[in-house]
Amino acid sequence: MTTLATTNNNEIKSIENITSLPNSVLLSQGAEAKTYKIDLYGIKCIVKERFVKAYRHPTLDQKISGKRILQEVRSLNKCKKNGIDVPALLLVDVPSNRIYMEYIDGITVKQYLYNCFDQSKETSTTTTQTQTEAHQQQIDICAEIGKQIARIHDLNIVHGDLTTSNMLLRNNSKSNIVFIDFGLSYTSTMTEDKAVDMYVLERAFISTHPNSELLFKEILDSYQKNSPSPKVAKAILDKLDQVRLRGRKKLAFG
Amino acid sequence: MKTYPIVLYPGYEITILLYKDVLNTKDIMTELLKGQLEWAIINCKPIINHQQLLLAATKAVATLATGKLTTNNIHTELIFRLSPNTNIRESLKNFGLQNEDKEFYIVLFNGKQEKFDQIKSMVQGEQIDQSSHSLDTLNPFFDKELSRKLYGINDKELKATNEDIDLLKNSIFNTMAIKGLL
Repeated sequence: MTTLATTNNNEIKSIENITSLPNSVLLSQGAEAKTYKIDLYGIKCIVKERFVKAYRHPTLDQKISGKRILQEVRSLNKCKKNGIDVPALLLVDVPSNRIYMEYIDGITVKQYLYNCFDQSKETSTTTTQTQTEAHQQQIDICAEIGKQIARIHDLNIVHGDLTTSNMLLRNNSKSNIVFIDFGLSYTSTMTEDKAVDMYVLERAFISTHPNSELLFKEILDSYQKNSPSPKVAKAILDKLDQVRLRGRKKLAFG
Repeated sequence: MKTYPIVLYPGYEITILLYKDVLNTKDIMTELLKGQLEWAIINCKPIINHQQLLLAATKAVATLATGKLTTNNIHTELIFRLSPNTNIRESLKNFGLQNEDKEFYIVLFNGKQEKFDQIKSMVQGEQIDQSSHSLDTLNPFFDKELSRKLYGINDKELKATNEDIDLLKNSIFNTMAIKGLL
C-alpha cells in the first residue's frame, strides 16, 4: 500500500502520461501546450499541459511555464467571477504544468460562421428568406462577440489571441459565447494593448471569413455600444486606426 | 459508503461515508482534537457532491507529493483544500466538524476494514446508504446559501436569476482550484 506519511514521499507521482487514463483523447497540440480530453470523476474535462522546451535552460523553462500558467488561471478566474462565460477551472497543477478545466460542448464561432456562409451561398436550393436569415445570424453573433470583448476589456484583461477559433458556442447556442485559451492573456489598462487585441481579431477575421469587413464593423459597433465605459471604448477604437497603419508591433528604437 | 480511486495519483483512493442524526458529536470532537483519528470529518452542508470531495482529495495528495503540506497531515489537508480560504483555522471552522453538527461526511484515504470498524464503534448515528449515489448525486444535506456564502459566489457570476445547479457547481470547483494562486 502506498504511504500516507508526510515524510518519505518521493514515490508519490502524478501520472506521467495523460493518455494512460481511460477515455483520454489528444485533442490538439500547439506551440506551447497539448490539450487532452479526459473524464475526471465523471466530469468531462480538458487538460492543458505545457510541455518542456528542451532548448531552454531547465530552470528558466520551469519559471516561464509556471508564470504563464498562473497568468492564464488568474485571467480565467477574473472573467468567471465577473460573469463572463469561460471554462471553469477544476485543478491547477503547477509542478507538472497542467491545468484541468471544464470541457465545453459546442462548436467554434469559426465553424458557425462557415455554416451560415454555406447556407447563404446555396442560392439554387434556398429561398431569399433563408439567405437573409443566415445573414442575420452572422450579424447577431458578431454583435454578441463585440459585447463580450468589451466586457473583458473593461476588466482590464487583454486576451492576447482573439480569434474565432478561440470562441466556442456552449450547447451550440449563439447567445452563449465561451472564450477559451487565455494562455497569452495579461492584465493591462493601456488603450494601446486593447487596441492591438482588437487588431489581432481583425486580422484573424480577414484571413478566415468571407465578407469580413461587414462582420467586423458589426463587432466594433457593438463593442462601442455595449462597453460599460464608452469613453474608453472610443479611445480604443481611435487607437485601432493608428494600429492599422503601423501593424501590431510598436516601432522600437535603439 | 463509497470508494473511489484518485485517478491522477495511482495507488490512492478515498472512501466516503455520510452520517446523520449523530448523538455523540462532542465525544468525537474530543477524540478529533487529540489528533489521533486517521480520517477526515467534514461539515457536509457546503458539499455539493462527491466530485467536490474528490477534487479536494486530489489536491491534497498533490500537495503531499511535493512535500509541502500546509497542515499537519493529509486529513486536515483535505479539509483545508475544500476551503477557498488560505487561513487554516477559518477553513477548519467552516469545513471541519463543529460541536452542534448532527450530519457529517467521513473521508478516509486508503481505508482498511479495521478503520471502518473503528469508525462504526465511534459514531453513534445512522450511516446513510450511498450505494445508489453516483459521483454527481446532489448531497441531501447541501445548503446552497451557505455554500454560496463560503465560496463568495455572487449573483453576477451565476448570471443573477439562473438557478442552474451546474453553474453553481462549476463556480465552486473553480473557486477551489484557484485557491492560493491569486
